[in-house]
Amino acid sequence: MRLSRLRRCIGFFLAILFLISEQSFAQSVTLSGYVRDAKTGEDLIGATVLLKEISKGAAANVYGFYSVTVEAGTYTVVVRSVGYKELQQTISLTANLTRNFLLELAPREVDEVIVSAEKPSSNVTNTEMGAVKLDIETSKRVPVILGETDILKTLQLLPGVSAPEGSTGFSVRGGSADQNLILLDEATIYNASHLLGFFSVFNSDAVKDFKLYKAAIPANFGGRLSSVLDVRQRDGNSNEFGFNGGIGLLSSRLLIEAPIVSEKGSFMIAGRRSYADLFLNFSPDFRGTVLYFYDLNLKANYTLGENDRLFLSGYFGRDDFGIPDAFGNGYGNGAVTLRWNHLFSKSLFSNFTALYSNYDYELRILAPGSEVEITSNIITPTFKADFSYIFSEDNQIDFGVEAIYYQFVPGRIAPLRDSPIRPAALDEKYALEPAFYIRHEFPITKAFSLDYGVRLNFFYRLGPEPIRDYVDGKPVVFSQTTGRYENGTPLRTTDVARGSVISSFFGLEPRIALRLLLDDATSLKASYNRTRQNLHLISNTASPTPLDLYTPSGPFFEPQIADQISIGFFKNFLNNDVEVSLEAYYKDFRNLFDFVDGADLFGNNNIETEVLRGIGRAYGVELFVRKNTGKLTGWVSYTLARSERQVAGVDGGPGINGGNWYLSPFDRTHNLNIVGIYKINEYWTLSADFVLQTGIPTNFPIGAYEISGAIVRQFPDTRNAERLPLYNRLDVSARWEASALDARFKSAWVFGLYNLYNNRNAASINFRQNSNNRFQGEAVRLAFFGIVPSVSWEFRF
Amino acid sequence: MKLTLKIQLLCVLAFTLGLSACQDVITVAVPSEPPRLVIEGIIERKAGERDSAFQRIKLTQSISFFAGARPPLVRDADVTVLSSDGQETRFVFSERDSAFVTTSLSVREGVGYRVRIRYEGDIYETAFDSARRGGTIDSIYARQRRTNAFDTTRGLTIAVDFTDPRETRNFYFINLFRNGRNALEIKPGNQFATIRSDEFFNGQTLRGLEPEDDIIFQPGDTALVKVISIGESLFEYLRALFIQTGQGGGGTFNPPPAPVRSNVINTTRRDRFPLGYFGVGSTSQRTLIVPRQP
Repeated sequence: MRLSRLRRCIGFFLAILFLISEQSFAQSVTLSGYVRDAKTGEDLIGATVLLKEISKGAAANVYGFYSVTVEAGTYTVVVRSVGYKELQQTISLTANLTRNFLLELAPREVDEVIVSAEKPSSNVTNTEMGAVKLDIETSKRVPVILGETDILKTLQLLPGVSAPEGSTGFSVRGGSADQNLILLDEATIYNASHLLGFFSVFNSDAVKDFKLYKAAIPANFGGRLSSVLDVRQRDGNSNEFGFNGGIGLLSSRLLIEAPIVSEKGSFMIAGRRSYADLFLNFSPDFRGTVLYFYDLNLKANYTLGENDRLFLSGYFGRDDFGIPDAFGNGYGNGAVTLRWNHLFSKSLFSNFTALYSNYDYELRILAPGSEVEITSNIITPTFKADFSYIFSEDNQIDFGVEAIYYQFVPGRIAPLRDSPIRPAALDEKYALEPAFYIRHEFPITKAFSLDYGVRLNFFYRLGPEPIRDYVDGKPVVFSQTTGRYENGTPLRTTDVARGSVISSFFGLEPRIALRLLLDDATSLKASYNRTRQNLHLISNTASPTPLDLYTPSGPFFEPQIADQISIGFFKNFLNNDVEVSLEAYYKDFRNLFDFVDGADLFGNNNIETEVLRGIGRAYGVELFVRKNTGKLTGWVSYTLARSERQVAGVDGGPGINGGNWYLSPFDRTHNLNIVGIYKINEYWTLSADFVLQTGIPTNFPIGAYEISGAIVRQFPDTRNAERLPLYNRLDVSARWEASALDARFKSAWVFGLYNLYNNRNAASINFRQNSNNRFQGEAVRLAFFGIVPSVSWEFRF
Repeated sequence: MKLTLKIQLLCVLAFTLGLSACQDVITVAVPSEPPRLVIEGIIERKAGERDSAFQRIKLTQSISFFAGARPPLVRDADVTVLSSDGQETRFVFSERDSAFVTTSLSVREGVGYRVRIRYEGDIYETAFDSARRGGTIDSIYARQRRTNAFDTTRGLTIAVDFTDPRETRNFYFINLFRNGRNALEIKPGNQFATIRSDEFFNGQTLRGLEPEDDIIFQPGDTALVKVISIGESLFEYLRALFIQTGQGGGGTFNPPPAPVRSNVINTTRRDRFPLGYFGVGSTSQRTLIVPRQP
């Protein structure tokens, strides 16, 4: 029955496609083409093409393609992109015209005087809200630890985004770390961190553009509840050969780019590796310790003809750390993406993507007598087709289909070195997730514009897999005698055949955003979106680690659902020099899963016996003030928010925190970030950032008692009722352009001081007994960093 | 074990990244509550041993976390063990054993036993538990302990070879005594050595099991290893104790801690529940006087 609904959707979708390709508007002409960097040929994502006389235009999409359909006539076309000189051309449109615009980089003058009367005000005028876009150059100026520029660390300085230190994930508007869809050239990255979250997998040299959607997530994206981080790699210089890179204290990187047949194609290859373990080998205590990460980014593109372009991207990254004879852990993301852009007509742009990604993680336990290696994978071949139909000024319909096939290998257990552990394999899981979406952006009046759409999300959990069912349908039961949750009694196991449907889920995800222009520099925006997530990351620690389990929706796990409403007020001052925004949001979450106390995960094939279901809510207010031009630029971001969870018990048992609302591990009441970048002259730039955040929730003991001569810490029934101390830190950095402005080979030095006043911010507070007097309890603060100086060198050719 | 190592690894990381110190003892305010009764009692079936009728139940009180003194003994309670065949054995406090003891309770197979404690106007009780046949220790010996980069202490540690019966599902609680004193350390790193189910070695002989490899023995020391076969419920309790309350507890990298529920219930006032456990076990034990090493 569910499959017939899928067939009806496919039919409806093909009908739309057919109708649109047949449409034509009388007396309208289309101006279309690409906006590119004049020197390197890179597509400029988000560049605006405006027809001055009618104040209408279009923005270039993620491939740099724009298209505007207007009545025939002569127009002054103004093309702009952040960081580039504005271009004006007078164009006479009598028939459909293809025109590519090549923009030149804006000169880095100290007293910038922009010629045109109008400056970018897109934050006020577009319907996007809760979307954060920072250009790469700005994020490179923000001071970061050890001088390693990192887009995820920069995102944390913006409102609504936070991450605890040492965590592998980040939280957007109170959502959990697994609720962010992280895409690199359309491929999903499961674990975007290196070295336990201190760095991200994104080599900033290889990144062209990144955008974080916190609300008003367009219908084009789905699969995660709280956010979408869409990262696009650079294409490579299609005019000439170039390279750039950097050498830092922790890692070094190199990127090489060149044309494949001048102006028709290009490629880019970038690599990065850390080398902390080389230093560790010098110390006898740490010899043999493995500690490294690497990234390899590849991209090639080729223009086949006027209407066709091909792109091939790859990303391969890995982390590994291990202590000889004790413990080892490694994980890696690997993805290959092939895309084909095709223009069916000047107004119908399409992109077809086929990709293959493999996320793997392994754990090696080397304690004597129990040597074992556990490996897990998530393999996802995916196909997407996206269409954009631009059928008049500002009127655009996007629609498309996506199909992801999942293969989960939760764990293969293999003994090492004659240990007595028997080899075993947890049951593999399979699923298919097709989705359709349609989205329409159009201005109802000049002041009021609407962007609405819907996403249809299907999920089929497939065999082969042995599926258990339980007495009374309860995988988890509560025992009154022991006062604990215990495994439900299994009834029978059914061996589902390959390709058969075990369970299926269907849901609609409506997405709506409105914008009301109060005047040229002021607007009010509102949005509602519903999102669904079929992949559950269940973590047994308060902060996710690479060892956590991904499990798909299925017989005991319904899809997670979130609803978010958001309103915002946006105003620009001083001729768009200063942007101010104030946004408020409320989010509701359903079907969040958490482990019962004392859950047994090791080698567990049936984790449905260890989880409880809960709900969540998050709400907050975000204030953002940004200054974009002049010698001093920067921003102030302040978020006041709350994020809570509620897990009721089952079977008469108590829930978490007695079934009452408790703070989620990602709750931070106050989150203040101040960033300043001061350009002294052509050669020197100083920057600083200050971070002040409420400490994350934690748990303290309520007493202690003795068992067999050992002291045991006693914890209360509450969850996350205490907080770590206030987190605060100041970082400064200085950048010196060491070469002449017009030199072909450029280099720069970056000097930094992270945590300038050496504040020992607690990453966690643990409790233990004093080593000399075992009856004396102590609280121990784990702080990762004191003051950390850094020096790094960058070069570009 | 893996959690402790994770903390150590993070220190390596922090050292590498910033040459900054890792952990500092700090002052922090923690909540407190009135003391609770703490019960430690496993009555053991020790077939063929000289002390097979000797049983011990220790009662103490909980303290506030930073108290800095040993949790006090409880001496003025009324402790009785009742058996399913109608017998009642009253335990008497012995200062020498620091616990309530009896010398007249020999645990028999197939009989259920439960405890009833009267203390400060409340009655604390459990359900019946009985002894389960378990495996046997084949041999006990001393050997050099294994070291690694993070753990360089040298010395002798005690190991046993132990055989598990194939036909039953068994859960074990393994204790090591050095010169008469229990050397149990409750921390996640010890979990695999001290509380074990036979899931991965059913019917086989475990060789070289080291209950506490951090306890160093000298030649002339007396080592006693007890392998107590217990019920699944007590096994789950002990496992929770090790995971939830070992080193850390409340840190970002550990499971969120929770109260480890005792199987003893305060039937008078349910919210004043006790801590600790009561169970019945079947023990196999061996003693070794550590010889001089060649």
